[in-house]
Amino acid sequence: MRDLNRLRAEAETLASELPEFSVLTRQQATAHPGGAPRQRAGHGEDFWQYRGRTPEDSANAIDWRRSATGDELFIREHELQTARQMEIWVDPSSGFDWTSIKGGLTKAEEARIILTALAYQFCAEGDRARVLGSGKGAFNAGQLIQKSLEAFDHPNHSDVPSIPERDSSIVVIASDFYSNMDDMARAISSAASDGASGMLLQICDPMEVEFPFSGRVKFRRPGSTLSRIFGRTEDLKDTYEARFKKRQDAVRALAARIGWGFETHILGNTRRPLAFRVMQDLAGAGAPR
Amino acid sequence: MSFALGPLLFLTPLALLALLGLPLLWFVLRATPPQPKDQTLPSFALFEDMEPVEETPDKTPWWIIALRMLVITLAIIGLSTPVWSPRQNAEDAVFDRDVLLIVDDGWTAAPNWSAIQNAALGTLGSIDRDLGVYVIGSTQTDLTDALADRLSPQNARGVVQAMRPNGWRPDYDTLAENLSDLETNSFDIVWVSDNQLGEGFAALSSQLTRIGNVDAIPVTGNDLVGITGVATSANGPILSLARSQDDTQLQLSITAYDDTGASLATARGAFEAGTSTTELRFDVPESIQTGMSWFRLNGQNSAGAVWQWDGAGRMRRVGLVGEGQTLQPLLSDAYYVRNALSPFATIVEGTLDELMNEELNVLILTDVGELSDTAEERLSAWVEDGGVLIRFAGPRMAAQSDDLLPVRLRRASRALDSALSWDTPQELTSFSETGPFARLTTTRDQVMIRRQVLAQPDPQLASRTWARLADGTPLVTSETLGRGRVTLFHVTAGPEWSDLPLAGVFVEMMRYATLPARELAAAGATTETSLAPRRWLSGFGDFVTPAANARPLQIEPGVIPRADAAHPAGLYQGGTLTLTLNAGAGWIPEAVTDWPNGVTVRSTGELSTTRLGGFFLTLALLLLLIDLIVSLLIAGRLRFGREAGVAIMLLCAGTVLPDHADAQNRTAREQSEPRDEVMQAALTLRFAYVITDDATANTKAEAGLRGLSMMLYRRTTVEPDEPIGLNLAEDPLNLFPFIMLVMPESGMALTEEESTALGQYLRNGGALLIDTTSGSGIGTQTDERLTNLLNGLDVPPLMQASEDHVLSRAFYLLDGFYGRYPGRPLWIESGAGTQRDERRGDGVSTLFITDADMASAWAVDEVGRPLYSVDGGNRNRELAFRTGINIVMYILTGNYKEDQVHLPALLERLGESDDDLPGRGRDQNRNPRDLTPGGDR
Repeated sequence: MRDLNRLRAEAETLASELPEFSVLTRQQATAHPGGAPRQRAGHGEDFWQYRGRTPEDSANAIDWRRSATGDELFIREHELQTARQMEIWVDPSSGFDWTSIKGGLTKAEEARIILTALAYQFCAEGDRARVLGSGKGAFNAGQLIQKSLEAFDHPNHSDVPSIPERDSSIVVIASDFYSNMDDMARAISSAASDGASGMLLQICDPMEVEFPFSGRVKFRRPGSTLSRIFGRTEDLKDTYEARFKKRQDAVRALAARIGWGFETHILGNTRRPLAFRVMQDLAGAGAPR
Repeated sequence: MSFALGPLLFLTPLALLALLGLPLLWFVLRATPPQPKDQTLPSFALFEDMEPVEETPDKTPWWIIALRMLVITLAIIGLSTPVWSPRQNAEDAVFDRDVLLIVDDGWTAAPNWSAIQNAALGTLGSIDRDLGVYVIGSTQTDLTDALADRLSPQNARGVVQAMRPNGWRPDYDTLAENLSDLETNSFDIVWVSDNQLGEGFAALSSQLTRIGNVDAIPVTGNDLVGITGVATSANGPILSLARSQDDTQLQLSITAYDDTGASLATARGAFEAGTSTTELRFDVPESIQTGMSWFRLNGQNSAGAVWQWDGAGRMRRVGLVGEGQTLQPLLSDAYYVRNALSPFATIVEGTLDELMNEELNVLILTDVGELSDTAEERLSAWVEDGGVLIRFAGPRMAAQSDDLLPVRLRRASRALDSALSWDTPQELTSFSETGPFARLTTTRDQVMIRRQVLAQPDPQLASRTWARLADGTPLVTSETLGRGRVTLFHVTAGPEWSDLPLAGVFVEMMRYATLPARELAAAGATTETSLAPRRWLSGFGDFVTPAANARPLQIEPGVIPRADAAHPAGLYQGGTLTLTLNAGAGWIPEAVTDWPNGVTVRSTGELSTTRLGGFFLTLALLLLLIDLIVSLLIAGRLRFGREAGVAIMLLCAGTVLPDHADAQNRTAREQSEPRDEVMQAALTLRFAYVITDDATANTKAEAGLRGLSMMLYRRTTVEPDEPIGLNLAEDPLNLFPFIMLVMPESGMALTEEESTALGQYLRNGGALLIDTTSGSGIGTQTDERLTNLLNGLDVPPLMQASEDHVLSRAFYLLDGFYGRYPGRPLWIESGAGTQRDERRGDGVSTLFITDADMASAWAVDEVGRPLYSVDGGNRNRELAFRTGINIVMYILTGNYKEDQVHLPALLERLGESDDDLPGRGRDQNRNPRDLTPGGDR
């Protein structure tokens, strides 16, 4: 059974190490209207508050109807509305929930920790995050870590992220991109064309990167009964590395095509630099193209 | 049952049938290729569409199959009990009757014992398992058990392996007699012999040839050397040695041991080529001689190579015929004799009759004129039996004497210093070179003789004289009588007639005069003497505890006891007599050169066989291991990094090369080498502190010692360098005169090594100041931390240093001991100052314990600024420094300040007059405020 407490502790540690994550600071001026109310004054459709006029306010801004009831001039403010919602998805395939390190976290667990910590920091500003494929609604910062970690284990997880047709959400997808590459590319491309921005995060096991085998080895994929014996695996290393690189390049190309970010993480490396890079990538995401 | 293939014999040949199964195995092995390694790998998805690059062989390589076949073949051969028996003439050596295996197991077999055992075992190996074997050790005297026990060759191996050589020589006569009941031609006989011609050898061999075919296997090889006797000389014992082979030169050394087994002296010598006997001389002082208890021939492990030197050679049992009560004991002759003898003799006093019943080496008569006829007869018999009789002259002897004297005496004494004599006292000048006094000189003290009895002129007088006066008249004469000896001192044993009893040379003369006439049973054993065994010598020459059923040794007159089966070589003790039986006593080595007719002499290897089963099985196991490693390599499950390879190489090298252990030792030694910086630091005087786990305490200790060193440097001629931190377990503590231990807040405990090192340091005169720093607390009389720390340390009883202890005035005059907290007690060893020669020569305490937190008060930073606040401010800090300086002075200079010499000056300074002097308690009256330094440094 997955040790949720450990994941939670790791995620909280990582989150505490990250700076506040504000996609908004840059985007505010051109924020997308509609969507989530942000409970503060800004561009939006709903009334937020009246306030007294200050000399900086232009005359156009004066709400004359309200001002007419008295001697003071009032400005009518709207509640800020954004559609900022982070959608996070972790590959549910059994190959992803695997590690070669004894007692170590699997790739999927690593992905959950990173994504949850990112989402938590994202939501600190009041935004919301949702675990794709879980069927659960979006969480806000309050219980996000606990709830989203639970939500990852939801049985309705599909092999391919089903990104809702909803523009301007920020999607972070963590996978190893070994299988279902075509389906996944299709799903991601279509989401991107709908206006979603985001990140592709590839998480690999060191063994998958280094291919440290020699002699006769019977390879088997987790969740598959298919196995194959290779005679001299040390000779296979070059071929393997070429293929591994090719797949990585394919994913990177996909990300570049749709304007998303792409990062690679290897189990055992520290998460913080990666999380920073992801945050940087995401800070540029959602900008109108 | 057995099946021979040339010299190779299979004892269980049926096992070889299993070899027929090998071809089958070939197919089985071929069909099972090695299992590949199973590996889960998600990224295998990238491969799923890939064509195989290289066809994996699905067959086991042929050489692996061959290897495994070899393993199984070897195992099968091993299990079929192969025996290698390279017999040249197989027909007549095949045993077809039960075998009588006679093994020589006297001490003469000990040097070659393993060869003898192997020869016996080898013989057993070639005996068909259906035949019975009787194993007989030639030292056995009772063959009932051995002849009743028909063993299988296999069981006989166990018996042979359990045999050990015994501490006596076999008695072939008895053995032959015991075997005489056996029927003619009933056995095949194998005699594994040590090739020594013992008593009754001929009898035994004729007996054996009667019983059956005799195959004799004489085993020689190692030199057989034994100690056959010890003679005494003035310089030390002379050991006679004999050996069985005399073809080469042989260097030898003999070590003498005392009763506790400590070696005392070693003598060297050699057998020349062509000789079979030699002598080794010890040249050692008398004091060492007396301690010698037994000798061992180095490099020889047999009972014959050990000689126990019995007590008679060193400690003499001397009988002194008493004179009854005397009114002037200091003038009695017996008094001087007793004193002269006491260093080396046990003295028994009594009347002559009483003494004759004792078992004595020496009997001393002082001024007994004429013995009664019966007494003289008894005495003379006793002397002839080996006793040593020493007589002193005197007025009574001068008047009339009996015949039990070395020389005939004149009927008068010669007065050299009387009113009517022209002669002046004569000096004792020379000792006879042939007598036992040859080594003595009189240069040390002048011995004047004033009166003596004179011997009648006799042609033999000169040869019997041991000591002479300046004018040539004999002073000491001696003559052998039977096996004993009679010695006469021509003066009294008291100082009336001469200075001799007062001179040191008298003791030496008595020592040599009482040397026993070294014959066995000299101690006057009587028929009733029964000696219990105390220790035995095993055949290998080790001392063993006698068996529980050991019988006492009965001494019969005229019979010299010899080591035999009932009484092995060893030490036997009776009420007054200690007797040693030595295995080599009287041994005359004589090798068997002519084996009698009917005995077939075979070489060691001829009958012997070697069992190869173990060898084959081990080889199979080794190959199996190789196969395992190879299989793992092929399967890719064994990945050798460079380290693993090196490790395996080292492992192999380690099992082969003997100096691997050395290397380890060397590493260990290198690790325990003291740190360089500590050794460097010790070049100048500096104080040290103990590095604890607590960094704060360490800093405090260092800063404190720095401050103290600085103050000492400024104010005194003690000029210490920067302090240094020490690791108790590793660093050489002895290089530092003063070590401070500031206890960490949380306390600390010493490991065993640390407390050992610290204890050693304190015993060697180091000084340790323990500061618990807890002085601020109220009622901190017991400190758990201190208890923990001192646990395991050898702490002497402690006391509080009193106000007038030398510590309070070693440099400054102090009224208390100060640290960060004023007026805290300073605990020192309670012995210090009272018992001057304890622990440290001066009675200076080595341990100081305080809780005043002195280190904090002394602590300064690099530029000399105080680090911590101190109760009472700068004045208190000053007092703390003075306390520290006093402690250092006390440690470095000892307690010379305690000398009364300085007290008047001190008292004067304290305003007291010289008149009401010293008394240590008095100076408590001084003004405690006076803190000026003692000016007389």
